[in-house]
Amino acid sequence: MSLDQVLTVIVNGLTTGSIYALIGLGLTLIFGLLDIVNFAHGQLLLLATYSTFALYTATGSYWLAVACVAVAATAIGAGLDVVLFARARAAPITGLLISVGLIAIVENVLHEVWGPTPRDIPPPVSGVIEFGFVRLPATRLFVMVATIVILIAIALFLKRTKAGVALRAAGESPEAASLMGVSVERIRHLAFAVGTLLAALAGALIAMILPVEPVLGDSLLVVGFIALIVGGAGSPLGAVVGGLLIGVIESIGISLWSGTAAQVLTFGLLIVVFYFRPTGIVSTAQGSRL
Amino acid sequence: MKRTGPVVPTVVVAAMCSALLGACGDSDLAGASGEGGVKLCASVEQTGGAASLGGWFEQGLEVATQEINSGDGLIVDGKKVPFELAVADNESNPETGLAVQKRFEQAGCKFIFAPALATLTGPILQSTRNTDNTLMLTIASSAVPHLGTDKGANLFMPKLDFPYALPTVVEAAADKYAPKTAAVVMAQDASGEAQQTAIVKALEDRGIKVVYDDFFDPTTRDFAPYIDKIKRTDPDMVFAGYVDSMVSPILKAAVEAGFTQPVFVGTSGVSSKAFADNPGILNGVVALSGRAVDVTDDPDVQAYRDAFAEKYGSAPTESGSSWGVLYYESIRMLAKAMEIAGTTDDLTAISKAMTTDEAGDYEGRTIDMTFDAKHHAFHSSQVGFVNAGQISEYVLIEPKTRSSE
Repeated sequence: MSLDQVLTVIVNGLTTGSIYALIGLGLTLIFGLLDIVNFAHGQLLLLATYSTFALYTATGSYWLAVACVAVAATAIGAGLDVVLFARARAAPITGLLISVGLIAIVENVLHEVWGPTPRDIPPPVSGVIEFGFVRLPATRLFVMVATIVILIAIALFLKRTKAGVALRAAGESPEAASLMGVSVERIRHLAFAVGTLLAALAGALIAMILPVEPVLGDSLLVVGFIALIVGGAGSPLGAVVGGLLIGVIESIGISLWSGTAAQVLTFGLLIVVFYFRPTGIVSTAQGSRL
Repeated sequence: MKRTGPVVPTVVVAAMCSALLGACGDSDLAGASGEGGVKLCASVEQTGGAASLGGWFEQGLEVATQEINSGDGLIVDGKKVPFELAVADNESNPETGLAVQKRFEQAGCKFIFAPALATLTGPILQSTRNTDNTLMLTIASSAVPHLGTDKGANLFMPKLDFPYALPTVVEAAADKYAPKTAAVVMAQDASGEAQQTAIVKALEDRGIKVVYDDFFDPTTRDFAPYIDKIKRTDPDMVFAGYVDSMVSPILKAAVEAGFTQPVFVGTSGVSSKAFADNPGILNGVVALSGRAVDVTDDPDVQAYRDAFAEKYGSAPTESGSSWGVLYYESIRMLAKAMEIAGTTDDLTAISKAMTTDEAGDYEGRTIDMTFDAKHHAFHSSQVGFVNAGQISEYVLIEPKTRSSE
């Protein structure tokens, strides 16, 4: 392969991996703090993707659509935790069942409203960007850059803001955080809200590169979970590393061999990590969930 | 004390609501009483990866049923017998397809339209002990091995089989664009593999070099790596995917990568919408199994257009609606066969009548479908040539017969 082909493969992998990283990070925040495996995460992403499409159709502005979806998703995430998941804190299996119920509701509602036909959003950036002899799709570069910005923002939020520090403290030890004056229950609502926001942003970015259709959420959710496990359950950095790694491995697998080989490599990675490093590639401090 | 009580009812209510919503799309099998009427049961891909395809089939079924029931209808023994259509969603999923088939059989359905996807119909046909009690119609390629066997005594395939349909598409596309090289990438499932085999053979028979030949997981939606790989082989023509949910993201990835010069060919599950959504693709071909019913100047399709408008309020506008024509004519032929046989119960007599020339002898035929002795359908079809997202012309392709018949 020539250099431009290698770079294209890597950019494709990092683009897909960026989406996986966002999904994995959202799942990690929710799992790390709430002990909830949110199977409805894919459907929340799908809801955001359709909402982005609907708002874009209504306003003609992709950016306005994304901003509105981000605000709405944050509110919906907080609302879901307050109304549903908060009542199942003592029984995580109940939270899991709730998320399964949400899958059925969101999927059926979306199908009733939108039907099965794939929908398309013209990306706000298009064309091919040339770096010397290397030509890369502008849309995919944008998705990568946008993801980096989002991840930096989340990292700054977790490390530099009071709410973010409180979130990490509650993840490490809810009892100690409570004794320090942190309202753990409110922080949990915040964690769900931020997790849902990340799903929504992933959905809005996906709408730029893939057609919007009802089956979109399922396969992305599976990879998001793999990213979470490979990276290290409860580790935000781990989810990002896991997502990017899976994206690149998939891209390399398809380019060098076939789609089947890419799947084998992805699940092979999962098995290898389980065997040699069960806590994930990025270990968190002992006892820490975030 | 742990308070989990209120949550459980919430979950139960949520699941019940979702089940109710999901059932809203299905016609109620119990509602089709069959009393005095002929019950037609259809397993349709209303949701899942092939939902766009399923929607077009359902159109054909509903249009035909309404037309027959509102007009002179099916007359047997001097009495008008209505058709009662019951549609169930197989979710484009093999397990659900089997469950739907079981429900149909338990409800006593004698006339069943099986799923369109080979991955669904294959297991159904393998698990059915015999077809003596049902007359089954399906366009799925997995029916082919059963046609002409004891098991296929009452099994019909109202669509040109891939080895007959796809070479004509390849020839029409090659006549128009004279490619020297081609790439083929299909979903790794029964339908995809059958199409890949037929397309590659047709290309090689035509002397076109296949420079890329691969499969993808049917759930794949990000095709950038595949497009990158195909681009490296520099093909003149690309055959990729067989339904809109596959082809649309493939075309989108191609436009993103600036790979718009080759001719992209959509086989018969693909509609012009996939190309209309990606006008950056310079040239394309869509293969229609039926007839283009979204055109206004073809007198052969006027009857279907009128019946469609009667049912839905306006004439069809999507090229994919051509699929509906196959099932539309199937039901009309079935009604005619019942009249010829003088029965709605004797499946052997009805099956025999379906293979006669008289079964197609009625007004307003949209396509010239006939069934041979083994219940293979032969009919003309069309390809549409697409330029920058719009269909610029349709070409009619005459049916070929089997050399062994």
